[in-house]
Amino acid sequence: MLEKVKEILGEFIDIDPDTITPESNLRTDIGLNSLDCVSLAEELENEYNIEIPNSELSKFKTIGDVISYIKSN
Amino acid sequence: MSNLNFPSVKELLSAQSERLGNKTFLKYIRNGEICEKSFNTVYSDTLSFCRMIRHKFGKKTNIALIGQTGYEYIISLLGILTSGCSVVPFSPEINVAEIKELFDDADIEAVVFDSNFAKKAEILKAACPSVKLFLNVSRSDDFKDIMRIYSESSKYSSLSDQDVDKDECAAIIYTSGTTGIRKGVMLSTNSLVGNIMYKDFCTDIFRENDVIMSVLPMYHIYCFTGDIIKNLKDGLQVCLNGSMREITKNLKIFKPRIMRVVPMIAETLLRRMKLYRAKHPDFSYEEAAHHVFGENIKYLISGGAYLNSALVDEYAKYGILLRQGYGMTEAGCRISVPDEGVDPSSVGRIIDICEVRTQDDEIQVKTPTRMIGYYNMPEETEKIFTPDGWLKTGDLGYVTEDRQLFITGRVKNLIILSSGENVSPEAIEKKFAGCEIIKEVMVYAENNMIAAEFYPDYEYAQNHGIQDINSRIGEITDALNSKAKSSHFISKIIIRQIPFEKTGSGKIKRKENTI
Repeated sequence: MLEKVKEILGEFIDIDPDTITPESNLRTDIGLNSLDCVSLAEELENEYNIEIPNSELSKFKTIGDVISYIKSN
Repeated sequence: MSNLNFPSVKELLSAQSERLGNKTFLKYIRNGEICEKSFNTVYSDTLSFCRMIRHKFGKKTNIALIGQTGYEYIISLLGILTSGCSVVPFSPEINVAEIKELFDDADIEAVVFDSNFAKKAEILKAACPSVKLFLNVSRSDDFKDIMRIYSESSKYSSLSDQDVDKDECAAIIYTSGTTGIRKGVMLSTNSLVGNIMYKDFCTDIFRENDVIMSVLPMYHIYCFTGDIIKNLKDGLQVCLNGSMREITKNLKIFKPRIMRVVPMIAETLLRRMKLYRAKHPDFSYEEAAHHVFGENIKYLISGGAYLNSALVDEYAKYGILLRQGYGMTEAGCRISVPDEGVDPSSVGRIIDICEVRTQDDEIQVKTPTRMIGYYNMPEETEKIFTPDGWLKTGDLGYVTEDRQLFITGRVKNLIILSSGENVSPEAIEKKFAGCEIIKEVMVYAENNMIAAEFYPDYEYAQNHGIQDINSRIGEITDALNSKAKSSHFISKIIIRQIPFEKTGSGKIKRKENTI
């Protein structure tokens, strides 16, 4: 799943995928802004057929948080 | 009373309905289907909504409007403006405690909202007894009922006959002040409509029947006067993006020629074009632009925050003309707008209805579309105007002989992120009040993110056996972040060993924001 998330992130941000780990912070390490975050959520919703409400999205701090949410939903 | 003669919203709608009739004005996606509403339908639905408001209230009332951009939202907005009541728009993301305070402050008697605010509306119903009506326009049956019950052929038809007093307050727009106190800017119909009646310098930008996609939140005056009122006046077709999440998908569906943006959106979409080219080196710049924006994109108009002029050149490579304007809610919005031939580092050329001067390098504006004043704040209102009636913008800059406007800095401390969101550092700092471990705090912007610098109370920490001060302050910040809206999210914390440098009056000397 980490690889898929990295692939989707590759559409939004110019970052070496090898540097992305579950501990990477979405904003400070990866550099996502608010538009990137909502676009990521939209792509993940389509990919995994899940719903990520804005209230949940604002809680995501790291890639690990994103993956945990997908797994639990 | 002023002697201005700008049209009312009703007069604009009526004129365009007569001229453009069944041509599409608004376009949006609902349940996977593209829906189109003509100028005729928008006019007719607006009048129905206006009749409902006048029937329910029969007097001037302040009506909160809270939701995401959608057809029902826009009809509600136009309907309230046509009824003579005042529309008070808010973001659906606002928290319940803050909105309750603002409802009280703005004397709100009715709340029109959509499903994005429905849960909070339920809580507010109990907490705000002075609000007489909560109307969820997302419930399609309820909305259809309003359109039917208050239609042209109904017994209420004459309720929409009388037009509004164009000098009276038509909207109250809340802005973040430098002190952290939110102020309600009262604007008349003459301000809202008058501000978009300037003569465009670029005749190629807003052409009749052009397709524009509306992506910015409608509770911002830049969006609602631009994407709705100005596009109505110019006869454009407006495609509603709805949720920011769907911007990528909707650009491909609607293929707009023009889009109003804030710098953050321009920066993000430029990055995506660059990435696309990096991954597909055989594709041209134009193909990358079409991949991200659709095949028809020509203009991006930026406002809400300062745009780095380097982006203008970058966009030009992709065949897209990125231009910027400048304004302020208190001025009725626009002060300068894009023009060909202006310096890319300027914020455009001053519109014909505005006069601009500089006093001690501060930009000051005289315009017939200036606000009536701040709601219930006569002293604050007096402070923002000079004795001879010029509006003090709080921005530093200069004007050239050919009316190009340049901004060089900010008088005030307000942080304006590249998303256009205004963040008062004092408002965030206040949240740490009462945290005994924190003696001093200063919030500022760094690389377009919010940073907080702390001087801990080392004595308190020692007396209470707190050894890991950094972690303790980190936990406090995390707790505040979890409740904060995204623009107030503190991304970086710095712990100081020595107190901040102070001014003569004992105030912390502020660090310069680096956006």
